[in-house]
Amino acid sequence: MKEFTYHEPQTLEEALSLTSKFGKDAEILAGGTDLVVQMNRGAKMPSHIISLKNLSDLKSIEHKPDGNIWIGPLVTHTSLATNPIISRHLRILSEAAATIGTLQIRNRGTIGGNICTASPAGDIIPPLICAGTKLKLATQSGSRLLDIDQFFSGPQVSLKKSDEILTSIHIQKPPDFTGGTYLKLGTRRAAEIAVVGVGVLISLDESKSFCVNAGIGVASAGPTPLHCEEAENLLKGKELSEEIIEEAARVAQKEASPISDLRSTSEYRSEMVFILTKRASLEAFRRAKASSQIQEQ
Amino acid sequence: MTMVSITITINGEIFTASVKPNTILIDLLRDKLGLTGTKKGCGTGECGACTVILDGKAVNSCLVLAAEANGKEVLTIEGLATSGKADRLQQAFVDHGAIQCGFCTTGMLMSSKALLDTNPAPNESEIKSALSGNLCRCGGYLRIIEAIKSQKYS
Amino acid sequence: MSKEKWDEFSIVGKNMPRVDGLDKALGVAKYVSDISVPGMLVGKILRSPFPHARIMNIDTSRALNKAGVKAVITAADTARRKFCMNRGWESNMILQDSKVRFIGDQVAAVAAIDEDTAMEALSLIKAEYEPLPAVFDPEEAMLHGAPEIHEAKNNIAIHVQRMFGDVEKGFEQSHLIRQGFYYSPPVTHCCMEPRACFATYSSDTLSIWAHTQTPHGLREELSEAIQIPQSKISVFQAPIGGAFGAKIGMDPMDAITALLAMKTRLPVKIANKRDEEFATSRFRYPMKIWLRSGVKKDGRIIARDVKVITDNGAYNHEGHLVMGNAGSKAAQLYAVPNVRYEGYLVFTNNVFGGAFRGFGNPQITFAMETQLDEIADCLNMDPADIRRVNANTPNSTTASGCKITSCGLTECIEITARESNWINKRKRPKSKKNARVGIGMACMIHGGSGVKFYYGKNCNFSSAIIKMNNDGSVDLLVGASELGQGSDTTMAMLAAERLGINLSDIKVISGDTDTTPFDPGAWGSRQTFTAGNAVLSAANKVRRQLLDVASDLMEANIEDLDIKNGNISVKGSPSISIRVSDAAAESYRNRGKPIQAQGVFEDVWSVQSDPKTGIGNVSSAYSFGTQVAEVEVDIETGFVKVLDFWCAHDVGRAINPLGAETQIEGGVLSMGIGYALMEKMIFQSGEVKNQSFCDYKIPTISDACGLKNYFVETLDEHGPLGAKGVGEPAMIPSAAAIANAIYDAVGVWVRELPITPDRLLSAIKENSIKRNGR
Repeated sequence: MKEFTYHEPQTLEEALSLTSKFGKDAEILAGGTDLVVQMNRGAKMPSHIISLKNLSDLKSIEHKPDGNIWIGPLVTHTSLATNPIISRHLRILSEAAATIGTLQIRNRGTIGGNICTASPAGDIIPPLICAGTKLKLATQSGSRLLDIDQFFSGPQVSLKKSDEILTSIHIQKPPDFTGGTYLKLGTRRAAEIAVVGVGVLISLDESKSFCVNAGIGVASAGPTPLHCEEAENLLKGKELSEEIIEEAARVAQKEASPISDLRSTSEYRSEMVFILTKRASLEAFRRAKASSQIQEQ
Repeated sequence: MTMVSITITINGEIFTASVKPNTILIDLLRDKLGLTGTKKGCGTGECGACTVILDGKAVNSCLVLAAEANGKEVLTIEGLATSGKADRLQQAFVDHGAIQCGFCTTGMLMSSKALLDTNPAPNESEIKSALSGNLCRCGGYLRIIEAIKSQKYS
Repeated sequence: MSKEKWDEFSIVGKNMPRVDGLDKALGVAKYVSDISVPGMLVGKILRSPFPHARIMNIDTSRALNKAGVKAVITAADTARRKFCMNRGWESNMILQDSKVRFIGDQVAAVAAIDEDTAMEALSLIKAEYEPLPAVFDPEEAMLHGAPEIHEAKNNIAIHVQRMFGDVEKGFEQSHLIRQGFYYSPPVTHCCMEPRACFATYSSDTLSIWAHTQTPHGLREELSEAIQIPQSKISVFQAPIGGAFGAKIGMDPMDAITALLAMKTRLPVKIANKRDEEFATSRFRYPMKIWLRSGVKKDGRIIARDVKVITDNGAYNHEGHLVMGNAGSKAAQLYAVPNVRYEGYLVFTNNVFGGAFRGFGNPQITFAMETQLDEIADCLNMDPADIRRVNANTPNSTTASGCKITSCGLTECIEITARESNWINKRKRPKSKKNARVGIGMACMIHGGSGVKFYYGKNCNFSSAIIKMNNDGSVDLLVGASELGQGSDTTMAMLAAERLGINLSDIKVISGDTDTTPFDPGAWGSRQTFTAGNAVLSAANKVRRQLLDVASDLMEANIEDLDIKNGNISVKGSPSISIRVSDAAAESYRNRGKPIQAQGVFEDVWSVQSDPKTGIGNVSSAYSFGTQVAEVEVDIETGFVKVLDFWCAHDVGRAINPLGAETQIEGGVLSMGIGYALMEKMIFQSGEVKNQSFCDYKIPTISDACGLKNYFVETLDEHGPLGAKGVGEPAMIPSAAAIANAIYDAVGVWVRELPITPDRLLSAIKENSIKRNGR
C-alpha cells in the first residue's frame, strides 16, 4: 500500500478543515471495508487519509420529535440491522443492511461509507431511495441537503465534492400503514454482492386498500442505484392487486438498464428486476395491510 | 512519512508502537508480534481467515489499519487458550472433527467466539449468519456448527 | 485382509480426533506462509502479461542495483531444462527462456529484504516481449492455421483412441440410444492458504518447506531442476492450508525459491497473493464431452461412445492422465462391455491444468450419470432401478481389464434410496408456489488404492518404519503425507491397533524426506490403502519381535500371547502379563536387539494400462459410492437451494469413521455443491477475470445443507484391515446427483456446469416454450 499521511481529527470542524485543505489528495476513512481494499489494489492512492473514527457525534441514530430519523454516517451495517429504531420504523433498511457481505464486513462497514462509495450494488441504497432520504453534506463554510437520488452520477461516482463530508442521513417519517422489504439475489446463499436487489415501500390509506405512496429502489440494474419513479406512479392512488403490482414490476423492468458482467447477464438481471419488484411489492403490501397505526411495519 | 503512535490492548496486554500509517492490523499481529495464528487467506476481506475480535466484534483484520485500532481491544486466537490449555470452544472443534487442514480454523474460532459472547445459545440460522464470512474448503461446515452448538450449556 | 469383527478392535473403527487438531485450534501450527526467520528474504516472481509472446530481452540491471535486492534470476540462472513430473511430457520451464505461453507465465524472480522492496524490484525488471497470436479454445487451437504453442501438430498434445469390446455391435444390439454434449468448466482448488515456499541452503544442502503432496517426488524433481543429488535436498511438509491435487509435483515456485536460496545463501520465502493464486493455479481440466450410450430394454448399458476434448492449457502436467482416467471410467462404471473412447488433449494459451480431486472422474461422471437419468426417463424407469440393474458386482472384471475385488455399490444404492425416502419423494407433487422440489441420485467408481501413474512403471509402493522405544512408546515414521486429511491419525490408529498399545503412545513422523521412508505421495485416494498396508507390515514385524522376547520372559508360547492396552498377556489368563515396555526395555537393554522394523507395501495387483489398448487392472481395489441430493428450485429466479444429501460409500473399512465422514462432508458441501452450482474460472483472452473470492464463488456455511453419511464396509481382501480410499470419491458424484435432482424438480436438463440461476432459468423458459408453445 502506498504511503500516506494519517490524520485523526477529534472534531468535525477539524475534519472539515482537513478536507478543505487537502481536497482530492485525501480520502475519508470510515469503516475501511472498501477503501482499504482499493488502496491495497493500488486503485486509490491518496496522499492523505482523514480518519473519522473519533467523531462520535457521527455514530448516532436519532428518532426526531417530528418522526424523522437521522442516521449518522458512521453507523455500521450491523447497527442498522439490529438497532430497535430502524428495525421498528424502517424494517426495509435493517433487512437490507443484514444482507450486506459478511458479518465481519457489516461490523466495520458504515452507511456513510456505502453511500459515498456509490456502487450501484450498494444494498442499503434502494431502501433509502424508497424512504425519501436526504443527505447532509458539510464543508467548512456550511452544508447542503441533497436528495439521495440526485447523489449518484455513475458507477462509483457521486456528486460529493472533495471538500465535503457526509454528516447526516435524514429519512422522512414513514407514514402510517407502511410496509416494506428488501429482496436480494445472488449465486449462493450468503456473502454476495447483489446480482439484483430491490427495495419496495408501500404506504396505504386508513382503509388499507389504496396505495398513497410507493417507493421502489433497485440495486445492480444500472450505472447507479435506481429509483423507479414510473413504476411507483403506477401504484400510487390505486387499489392494489396482484395484477397492478405485476404491471408496475414490468415498468420497473423497463426503467432498469442492467449490464452483463462477471456476476450475471443483462437479460437475467432485467428479468429479475421484474421478479423481485413483483415479490417485494407483494410483500410490502402484505406488511402494510398488517401494520397498525403506530408506525409499525 | 510521519509515523503513527498506537496503543492497542492485544489479548489483554497493552502494546505500544510507532508504526507506518499504511500498516495493516493483520501484518502488525503476524509480522511485528509474531502472532501467526491469524491467517492471511485473501487480504481483501472475503475469506475470513484473518478474523479477530475488535472491541467485541468479529472483523477482518486484513481490512483494518493498525492506526484505526488505536485505543481498542483486540482478541486473537492466541488469546483464547489459558496457559497453553485450549479453551472449551477450541477443544470442541477438535473433539467434533471440525478441523482438517486447519487454515480456516482460527478465523472460524474467532467468529464463533464473537457469536457465543453475545448469544450463548445460537440456533443454526444464527450460527450460519455469523459465520458466512468464514470460508472452509475442506470440511463442509457441519462439524463446526455442531461444535458451536455443543457450547450451549457452558 | 482381515475379516475381524468390530468388537475385536479397540481403536480401529472408533471415532478419533485428529492428532494434529489441537495445534491448529490453538493457532500454533506453523504453516509455510507463517515461517519467518531472521534475515529471511522475500521472493517475488515476474510474470508474463501476454498469453503468447517471444521473450526478446530481460534487463535485470536496474533491479539488481536497487538497495535491498539480493538476487535477481532469469532462465540464464537455471539449467534451461524442460520439466514435467510425468516423464516424456516435459514442456514447462522453471523460468521461461524463449517464449511465454500464458498470462502469468514466470520469466524472472527476485529476492529482497522485504516485500515492498521485492515488488519495486519486479517493476524495475525490463522484460521485452514480441506478442504472438494466441488461442484460447481447444477446438480453435486444433484448426489448421491456429497459433503454434509448442511443436505439436495442431496443438494436440495427445490424441487417444481406445476401444474395449465392439461398440458398433453394442449399439446395434441396443434397445435405446441416447446422446448428448456436456461441458465441465475450468474450476480451481481454492486452497485457503495461497501457495507458498520457504528454502534455505547451507553446507551444500537445500532444505525446502513446500506446499507439496509428494515430498519424495518433489525432491527428485528439484534434484533434476537444480542439478544436485537427491541426498543433498531435504523436503519438509509444514502443515499446509489445502491441497486437493494442486500440490502434486514440482511447481516452478518451488524451484525458484530453491535457486534464490542457493544464490543468496539466505533463507527465502515466496508466497502467492490470492489474486496471483487464482491467476496461476492449475485448474481442473475443462472438458467438452460427447457421450453416447446404448442400453438394453432392461436398462443395462451395453455400449458407450465417448469423445472428449480437453483444454491442456499452456504446458503439459497431468492432462494425459486425467483425460485417460476419464475415459477409463466410462468403461469401469457399471462395467460396460463395449466402450469406445477418443480424447484430444489440446494446448491453448490458458493457464495449464492439474490434478484436482477426482482427476477427470467428476467431469465424466457428470456426463454419464445425468445421461443415465435421461435414459431412465425414456424407458420410464426409476433412476434407482436403472442403477440397480447396472451396478458393478464384487469379484468381477470390466471390459477394460479392471479386476474389481470388493464392491458394495448395490448396498450404497439401497441405503441411499431407503434413507432418503426415495420412492415417496419421487412420487410426491413437486410444486410449492414458486418452488419445485426434486430428488436425484448418482453413483461412482474410483480407484481406492492408488495407481501406477507416476514416477515409473511400478511405483505405487509405500513404506513405514516403527521404532519402539524402551518405554514402550512408538515412533512411527511414514512416507505418507499429512495434508489435513487425517493421514497421520489413520496410520497411528492402525499401528496402535496392531501393536496393542494406546494411541497416545504413538508419535507420527511424516513429511520429512530426511527421516521418513519412501512413498510416492498423497494422491489417488491411495494413502490409507498403501501406507496403511505398509504400517501394518511394520507393525506385524514389531509385534513379532515383542512377542519373541515376551514368550521368553513369560515362558509361554508365542501363539498363546496377546497384546492389548500396552499389556502382553496369556490368552485366557489375563493376570499373567507383562507390560509392552518391559519387553521393549528387556530387548533393548539386555538382549542387544532394539525393537524396530520397516514395512513395505508392494503393489502386486495393479498394472499400468497398456499404452496401445488401454487395458489393464489399474487399481488393486476400487471404491464405490452413491449420493442422493434433494433440491428446491425457484422457478422464477432459477435459484437452486440444496436441501439435503444422503451419501453411502463403500470404503472397505472405515479405519477412522470420524475422519472419513468429514472427508465426505467436505467433498460434498465445500466442493461438490460449488462445482455443481457456482464455480467457474472466467477467462477472457487468456486472462482470469475472477481473481477473488468475491467473484469466484465457493460454498459458504449458509449453502451447507444437512448430510447423512453411511459407510458400506465390504472388507477388501487387499486393503489394510479391508480399507479403501475415500478422499476423492467424496465429491465425484455430487454434481450429477444435484443435476438429476434439478431434472426431477423442473424437468429440464442443464448439461453445462455450473448450473447457475441464469443458466437454469433460460433452460426452464426454453423448455416451457417447447412444451406449451409460450
